[in-house]
Amino acid sequence: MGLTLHAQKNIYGYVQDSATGERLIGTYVKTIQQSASTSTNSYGYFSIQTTTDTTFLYFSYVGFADKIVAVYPNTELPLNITLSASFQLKGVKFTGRKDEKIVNSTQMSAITMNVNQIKMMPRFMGEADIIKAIQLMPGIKGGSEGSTGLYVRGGGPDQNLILLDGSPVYNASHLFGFFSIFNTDAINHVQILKGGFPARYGGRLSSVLDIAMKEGNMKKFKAEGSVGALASKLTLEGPIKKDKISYMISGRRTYLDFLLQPLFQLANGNNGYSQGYFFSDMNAKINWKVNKNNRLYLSYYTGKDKYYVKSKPYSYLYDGKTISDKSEDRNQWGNQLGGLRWNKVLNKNVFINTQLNYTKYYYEIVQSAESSEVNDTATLEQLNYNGFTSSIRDYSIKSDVEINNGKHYFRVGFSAIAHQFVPGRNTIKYKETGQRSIDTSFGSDQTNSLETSLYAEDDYEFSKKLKINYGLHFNLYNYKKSFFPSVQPRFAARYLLSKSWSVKASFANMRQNIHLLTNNNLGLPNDLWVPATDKVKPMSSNQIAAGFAKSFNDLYEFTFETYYKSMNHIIEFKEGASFLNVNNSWENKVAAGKGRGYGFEFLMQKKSGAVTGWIGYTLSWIKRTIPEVNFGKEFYYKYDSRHDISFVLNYKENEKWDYGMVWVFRTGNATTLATAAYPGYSPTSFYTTSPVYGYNGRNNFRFANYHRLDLSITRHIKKKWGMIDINFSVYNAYSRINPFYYKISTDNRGNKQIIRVGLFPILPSLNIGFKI
Amino acid sequence: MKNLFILTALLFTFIFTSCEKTEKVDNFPRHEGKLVANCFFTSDSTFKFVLSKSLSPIDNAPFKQLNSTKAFIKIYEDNIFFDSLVCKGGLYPTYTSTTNRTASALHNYRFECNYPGLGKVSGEDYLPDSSSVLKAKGYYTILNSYYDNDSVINGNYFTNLNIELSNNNPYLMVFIQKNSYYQGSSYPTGYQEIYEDITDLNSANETEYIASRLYISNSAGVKNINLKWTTDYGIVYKKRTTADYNIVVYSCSKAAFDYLKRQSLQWENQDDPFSQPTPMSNNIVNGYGIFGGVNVTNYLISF
Repeated sequence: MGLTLHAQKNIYGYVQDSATGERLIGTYVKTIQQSASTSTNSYGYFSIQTTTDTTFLYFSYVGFADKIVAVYPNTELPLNITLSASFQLKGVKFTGRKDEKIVNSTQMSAITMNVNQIKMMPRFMGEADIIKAIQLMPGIKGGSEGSTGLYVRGGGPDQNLILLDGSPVYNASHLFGFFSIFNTDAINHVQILKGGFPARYGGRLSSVLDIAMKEGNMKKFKAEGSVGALASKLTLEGPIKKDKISYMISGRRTYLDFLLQPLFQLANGNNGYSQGYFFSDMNAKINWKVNKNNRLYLSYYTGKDKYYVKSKPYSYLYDGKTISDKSEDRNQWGNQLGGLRWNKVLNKNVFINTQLNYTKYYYEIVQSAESSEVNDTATLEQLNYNGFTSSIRDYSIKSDVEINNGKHYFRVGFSAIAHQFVPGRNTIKYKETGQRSIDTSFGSDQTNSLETSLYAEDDYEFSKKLKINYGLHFNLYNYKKSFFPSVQPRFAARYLLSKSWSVKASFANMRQNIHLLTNNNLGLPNDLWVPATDKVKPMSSNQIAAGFAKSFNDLYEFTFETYYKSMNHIIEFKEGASFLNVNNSWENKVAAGKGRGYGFEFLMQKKSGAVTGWIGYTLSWIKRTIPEVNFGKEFYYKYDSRHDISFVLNYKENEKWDYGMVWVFRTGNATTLATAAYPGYSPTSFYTTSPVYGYNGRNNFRFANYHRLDLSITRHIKKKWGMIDINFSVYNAYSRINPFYYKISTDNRGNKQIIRVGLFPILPSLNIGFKI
Repeated sequence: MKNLFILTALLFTFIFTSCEKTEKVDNFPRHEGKLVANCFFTSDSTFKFVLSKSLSPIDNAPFKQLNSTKAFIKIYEDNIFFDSLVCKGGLYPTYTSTTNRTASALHNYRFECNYPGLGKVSGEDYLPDSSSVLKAKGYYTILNSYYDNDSVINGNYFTNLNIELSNNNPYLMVFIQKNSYYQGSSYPTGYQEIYEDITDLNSANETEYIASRLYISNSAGVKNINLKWTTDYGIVYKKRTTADYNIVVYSCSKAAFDYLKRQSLQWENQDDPFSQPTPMSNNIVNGYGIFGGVNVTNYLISF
């Protein structure tokens, strides 16, 4: 082995799954002789520097067998490293990542989740859900029972940059937040950052959730699907041209509408009306390996929820005339995303990714009725249409350049995003034969804004022990005639105490130029995205975090972090404001103020072996100060929860059986309850009138503590043609009534009483899946 | 429109709601009844108080106006004794003046009340100067007009009212009452509040339109306030009938303004499950209620 010291040189390439050709994001890569290390980026690309003629590279990825590869001076670059899934090896040998990546990396407050691990966890109504799994991590709260909201380190649900193949997702929920839009069968990789944001990220205050769709199998055709209690799904993938072009297409639809239709008919009789609800989504992707240095990806997602009541066209004779009626009321919302990405390895030092993205989220309510009257001489038609729509649409371009220069790993880039907002528009149409027609829109008009960003960051190995990541993110936001520039410094440092111990610290200044008008009580699809304006300024935050990371026996990872985050110009609905009131401009309905969140997070994870899982604990405080709310006094945020514990355990007994368990506990959410009732009064009356209610502060009361146990068992049945997976899950196994809200009712004796209303008692579900 | 949304939300809540549990009332904030003292004072009439006792929000009992003759209320003007009030019985007992003295604008007033069993409460406020209507011009416009079979113009009409107020006080509440006549008769319907938006033409003013009342907290320091009221949408059939309008302007102290505004919000939102909670403002020490100065101006116009 030629271990002669030589001039520095770069070894670069891609890491992929041997079975599918799928790129493996976040693979740990290390030079054995020099212990230099890195990990693959979002495209499975890595670049590492060495000084020896022959270099031994070590690759490790969760759920895959480790690999050591010798790279000789004449080895052709870029490398194409393939790793094999470890659970496919005979003899039920479970291996996994044996590395100190978490210890080595400057990045803190980051969590990577393996989709297979998520699928092993107990499911809610038969659906494995990425967001629900992420909510079990320390520092991340899920809001209300069953919802897919994300409240990260004191931030609001609007402060998360959720990216699906690089395109932002503005509403990640189906069915009023009970399910996320992410179909696990179509997802390859999930990472969330809660803090210590490198300069390449911007646009949101509290987190970056980066989700990569599957790229499609480059080797052979594969099909995967399932039939569940709520939805069924099917995923197809395969090569269009082997090892050159692949595709992936995945669809999912619920069938609540079909199942409930007979019940509605039973209740209402066959009155010509039908009503129902469904959600559906589709992911699609094409992946083209143009040549060894160029790759193109085309990604698409569309999904919607729809609730409808409609009458079948109905005709009857009346007074010698034929009269026909039909009507439809619908309430629907959905996302559409598209992205084109181009990866280019420019030379041994430089990797470039350029992408174009489009995203749209819309919400609409429509009531329409049509009728016609036909007699011998004329046809009279009448149309009534009453609609409300809101939407946000983004067009963006982005380019990132990665330059590996030995001790320095530079990243520079730019992005431009054009936002189009329609915060709320009513449309009324009225048309009648022979009469004047009305076609008018009122409410908020479309408004546009533009964001441009530049960034530069450097991951610098200062010494063998000290590594820092520093950078600047520059953002210029333009709305109408106003410009809001910002320079956002970022810094993170890691100091190695030993091979398995490191201490870390980070600082991140963030800016967010869009706001979400969200009702404090529920996470609903009609939450409105609106631009920052002169009156409602862009939000900003500063977050400092410090902690340490430790890996034990190559099996366990342990992190402890403490953080303090302050936020400015965050918005809340004013007291008494209601989003149902569209007559009032949104700017008049909100008040801006400050927020802060601080706390401690503890996470112990086991990612490899037959038993995997984690224990997470968060001790945190979340507060808000809004001059026009709570008489300007600081108050606890609705989702302030002092203690938050999660315990996740997956056990793979053998190739046939998996078991999963989740137990969560958290302090109850805060809510506002009246503490006194007394008669109201007006200057013109001298007697008691309707009651008014006194409160001793915003969010003055705590819900009962939340806790829940979920269990699952999965049987894998191997067939000649593939595999059948039967998953039986029990959500809320001991049927705890966790409070969703409280109501006051009257008992048989006429006494008022307080009722705790929970959403889900024990909920068993069955899901049958297959893989070909 | 909003009902469809609420129905949708309720449907799903119903589908998924299958578990309820009665909570112990002890788990909720306890309430100890306090004296509620309510009084708006003006320069037009003497001080009048309505006293009652607060209840827990989940209490079954109705509110009762208190009428103890052993209670006393004393009023001070600029810290000098001004008046004492005694209980006047009846169905709705009030505590009324013994001197017939009325408050004067731009003076501070304080009250003290000692009620048997409920202790002593007090409050303080000032009486702002009244705000006058400088100009008011009314007219109506017809939209979508057409001629009927008798060649008479018909159509939808909007009533327009431009109002200019003097601004002696930063906290105003404005609403409009209409006294129209039954079609083809000379019998008035009586003054009734109009439920359509009034717009403040100066966007720098902080305004909120709640339950047919416009609340203006004028932080911009504008001398005069111009309001536009394009409302009273209706259908002209043959001929629009003339109506009388009463422009009512409350010139309020800050305490009175906050109380009235928050009270309007609570009442308006009582059936809206999606509205934000609105705590009542309270300037009664050791009790609840309002002791607030309000000067009322009425301005009549017919067109």
